[in-house]
Amino acid sequence: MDSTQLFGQFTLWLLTLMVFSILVKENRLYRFAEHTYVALAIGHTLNMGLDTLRRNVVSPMVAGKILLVIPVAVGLLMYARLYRKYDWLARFPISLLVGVSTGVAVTGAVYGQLLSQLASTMRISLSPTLDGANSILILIFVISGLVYFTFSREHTGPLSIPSQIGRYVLLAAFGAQFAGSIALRLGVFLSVVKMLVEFPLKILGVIP
Amino acid sequence: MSSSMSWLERVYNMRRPIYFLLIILCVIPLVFPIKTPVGISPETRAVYNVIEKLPADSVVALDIGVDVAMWSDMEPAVVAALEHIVVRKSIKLVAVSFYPDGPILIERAFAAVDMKNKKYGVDYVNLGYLVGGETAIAAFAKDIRAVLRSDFRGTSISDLPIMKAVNNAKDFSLYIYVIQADPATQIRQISVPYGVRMIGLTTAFARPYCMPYLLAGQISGIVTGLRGGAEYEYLVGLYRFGLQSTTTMSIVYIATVLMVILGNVLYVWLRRKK
Repeated sequence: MDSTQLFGQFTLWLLTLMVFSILVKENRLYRFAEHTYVALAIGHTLNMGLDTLRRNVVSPMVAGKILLVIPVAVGLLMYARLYRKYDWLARFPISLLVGVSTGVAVTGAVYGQLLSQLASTMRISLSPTLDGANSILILIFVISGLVYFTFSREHTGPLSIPSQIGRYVLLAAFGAQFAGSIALRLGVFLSVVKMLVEFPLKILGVIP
Repeated sequence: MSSSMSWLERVYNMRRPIYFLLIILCVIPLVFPIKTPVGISPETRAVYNVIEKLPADSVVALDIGVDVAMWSDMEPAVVAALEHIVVRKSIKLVAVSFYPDGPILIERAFAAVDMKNKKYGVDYVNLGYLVGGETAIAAFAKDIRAVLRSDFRGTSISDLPIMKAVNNAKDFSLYIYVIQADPATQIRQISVPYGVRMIGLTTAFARPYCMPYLLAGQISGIVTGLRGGAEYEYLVGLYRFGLQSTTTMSIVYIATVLMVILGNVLYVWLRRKK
């Protein structure tokens, strides 16, 4: 480990400890680490954005692709929002963005999400296996979930039971997402704890 | 009774002891590692088999769709995939990201794999970050050179030998998407229009979002989070952070489940008492 890496690792270790100090109580060290993190994140995102502009817009324009000035000019119109008199100019790039994004998304969504998912849901198997039972349950749960979100009719009579099932299906889905969220955070937490423990042990030469 | 209630309420409201219990539970197995058996899920095995069956002249795309805060959960899976694809199978790999953090994470993953016998620009490349979200993904899939002039290290795309036969998404034999939340954009813009086979390396959070696409066959396999990373490391024959953490993961997951149950029991009991 060279001195630059060592300094980087030590800074990471120290800032992580500062963040964990919130577990004891709110304090200035935590605040310092928090603000440093936010500042670094903004700085990094800005740097990556500018680097993308440099690589894909400025350099090609210098090399002669002068037509790239048009998207740059349209993009700059976004800043017109800063001036009340000219803020209407910002509508052009925003409408362009929304229009293009929607058009791009819708074309793939019809087959990729709507039709494929419909076909997959309808493909039930009557075989006496777990997969077969699963395919029937998925169909029932999807229909129940859709019934739960049907607001144009009161959930009474024939809609009552599917609506109740739909409610529990949604609760189960949220539970699965919550479990996934915990698992994700624990994974991250584990690596952080590992770093906190290993760094001083490496410095002391206890572990290679 | 009132003293019993206040004691239970204190237990119900305690936070710090839980934090420190979790830290201790994490530290002990990391300091004294114990190897525990690892069961391989069908989804992880599917990912391994898809890569194993790729022809030698394939080019694989790796799209890092996570930010740095989620990276620890994904690093074992990504590093194992790189080891499998680039080192073991000698298949060419083109990495790209539509997240600002992506290029640095790609470099970090490259550094974690022993690529001494592989050459940057010939066997693997980091194309960097492409701004613009779904529109950028669509444009990248249609014509890579129209949106990218150089790679992350500043080399012109036309000077990279690996990119000679790669012009659009159709030229990829496989698209590996490292998924933070929802794989829908890549399904819409890469998998569906160009018929490119896709596999996912997903955070544990993203797994429920990926399952419908997996069941529909739009994703051929998924490796889920740190646990999936451990399975993949086992299949590839690596012993790194994923496998090193399996015991800790099991202990912490059991403790978490017990605390969730205890919290709910106390919540119901205290509400009834009031």
